[in-house]
Amino acid sequence: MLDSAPRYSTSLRDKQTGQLKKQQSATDILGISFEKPMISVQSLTKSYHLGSMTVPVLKGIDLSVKVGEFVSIMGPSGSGKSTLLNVLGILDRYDDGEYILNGTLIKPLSETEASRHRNHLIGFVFQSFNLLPFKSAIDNVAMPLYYQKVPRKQREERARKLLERMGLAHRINHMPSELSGGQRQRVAIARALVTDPPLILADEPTGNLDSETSEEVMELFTEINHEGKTLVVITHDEEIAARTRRVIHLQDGQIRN
Amino acid sequence: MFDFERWTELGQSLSQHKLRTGLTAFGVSWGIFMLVLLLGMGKGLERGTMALFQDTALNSVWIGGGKTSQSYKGLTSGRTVSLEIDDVALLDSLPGVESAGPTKLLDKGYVMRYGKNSGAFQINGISAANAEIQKLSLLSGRQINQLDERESRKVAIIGARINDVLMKNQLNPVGKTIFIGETPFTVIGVYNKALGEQSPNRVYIPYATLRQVFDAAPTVTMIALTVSAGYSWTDIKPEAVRLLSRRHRFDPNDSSVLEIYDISNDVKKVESLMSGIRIFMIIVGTGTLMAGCVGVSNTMLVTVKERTREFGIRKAIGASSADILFMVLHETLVVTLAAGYVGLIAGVGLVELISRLGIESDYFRHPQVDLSIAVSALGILMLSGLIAGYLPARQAVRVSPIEALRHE
Repeated sequence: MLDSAPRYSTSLRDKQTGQLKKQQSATDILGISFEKPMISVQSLTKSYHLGSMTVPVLKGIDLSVKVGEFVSIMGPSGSGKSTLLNVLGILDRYDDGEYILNGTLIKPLSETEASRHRNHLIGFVFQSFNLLPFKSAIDNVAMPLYYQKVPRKQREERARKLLERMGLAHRINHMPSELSGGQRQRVAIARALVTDPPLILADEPTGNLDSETSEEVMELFTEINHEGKTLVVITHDEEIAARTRRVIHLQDGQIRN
Repeated sequence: MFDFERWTELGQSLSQHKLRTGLTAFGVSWGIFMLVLLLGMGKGLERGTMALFQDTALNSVWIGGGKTSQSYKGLTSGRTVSLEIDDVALLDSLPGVESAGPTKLLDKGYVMRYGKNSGAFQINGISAANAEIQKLSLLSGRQINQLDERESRKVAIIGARINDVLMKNQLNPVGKTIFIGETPFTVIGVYNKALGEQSPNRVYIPYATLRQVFDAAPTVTMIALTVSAGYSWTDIKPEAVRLLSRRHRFDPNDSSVLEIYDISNDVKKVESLMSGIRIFMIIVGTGTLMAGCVGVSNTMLVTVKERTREFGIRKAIGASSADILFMVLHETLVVTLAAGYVGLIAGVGLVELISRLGIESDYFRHPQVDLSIAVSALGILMLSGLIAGYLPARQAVRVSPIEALRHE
């Protein structure tokens, strides 16, 4: 596991900067191409097993998200939107169909490979922030880089820059419990961005925030999207969905539009 | 192995639950402490018990005369059989007998004088061979040698109590002349401990001198012999009894005639008792240790359960199962090893303190934790740390990130 990690990072990332080489030509070997979709899902199904009962949750999803798109997924609770996001985030397995993320077929990945893809390709933002309560803001933001074996100084440097950008320069050493909801979510967004992943997945990112703070978060997302990142946001808030460029409606495990 | 980052993570993680970590660590410390203490004390018990044999060679056999209980070849029962000096030579010539020597304790006490001080004490005649068999613990001077024996020299080893009475313990008595009855003897040594004596208040002189000066009869009270390596008394006994029964005309099957003490027999019994006690102590000690480790395992399981969300977050941001497994295993091992080390030091320290303070009795002296005990305790500790860590770690790895993130 340890010996294969550098191989991965050298193939996906610039040796000097550690940044994803997405500014290069579309034909380069990295597979990050502006023509290719970031997410390509075909006839994807997923069921949960409750005792002897099988409950189908995703019933044949077809979905394509292009590089640089800002998409929201809407649907009533129980429609399968969280499950879809978990599958897209390689946090959960799917039963049938295909899911290709950034040119990689996800199904055959081992658990370790999956975690490495998560680490390099995806940044997560959750409704309940999911910060580690015993770590300061800067340590929380730097965590994903720890699993990339980035040296401490570099990790802190990058985390600090992101927190400054989030307007949290004066809060970097505060613990999550000392921060407001909006501040926590900005720390979580900084954490999602710290590995410079091409894809950000957000699960009800404004669900625990007041409307003013929600607005700030959405502005931040728009800004990130303008920088070239692909964003997929799950929400049940029409206003939030209206801020994205495309809305996908999910109902009863299927895409409606 | 030494990765500063990992240790920082570990410190943060353990310090979240200081009390719980502390209590768990205490369980392990206590287990190791008890194990080391038990084994160290066991060593003391063993040494104390074996010290009971220090006044005699461990391969010695002591034979004395007695009374017949059966009539034999026209001789009536109840006849007294006394061993004699010629029997010593007879036994000495047997294959398997290393050396043999007589002891003869005179029944009545003799008045002994030095200057104006006097007292009555018993005399014991022994041969030079006995110096090796019956180990008089000398405070000063030397043992009786073959020259003393051959020339029937008037030399004496006196008990420390006699030294006390006659010389008021003020002088070095070696080289001084004391009177036993009317005969002058040169003191060649002082002893403070001897087999079969409560306090050192006898005089040991050469057997030949005893016969010449006090009692000409060729009898001996006991014959002491040592068995050569590769032999045991059981091998020698039939022939020895046969020879003695022919000389003294008694039934070789009459077991009441000869009083025989085989020291090696007692030693074996004590040794087997000791190994039994040792095994018992290992079982009890290991059990205590295991209880500590089950405690660690249990606590870690609970901790893992509570940290489900944390593991989920870590997985979501890129930790692999191996990272999580290693993290939990690392925490358990560090807690177990650090706590065990503290217990080990405390146990060794206490045993050492008891030894230094000189706390001892007839059956207990110089407790010690030897290196092999310490090493095996450490080995058990490592092993139990791994076992204690593995179950929680496996549990942690099984956590699915989604389940974990839903976990409130």
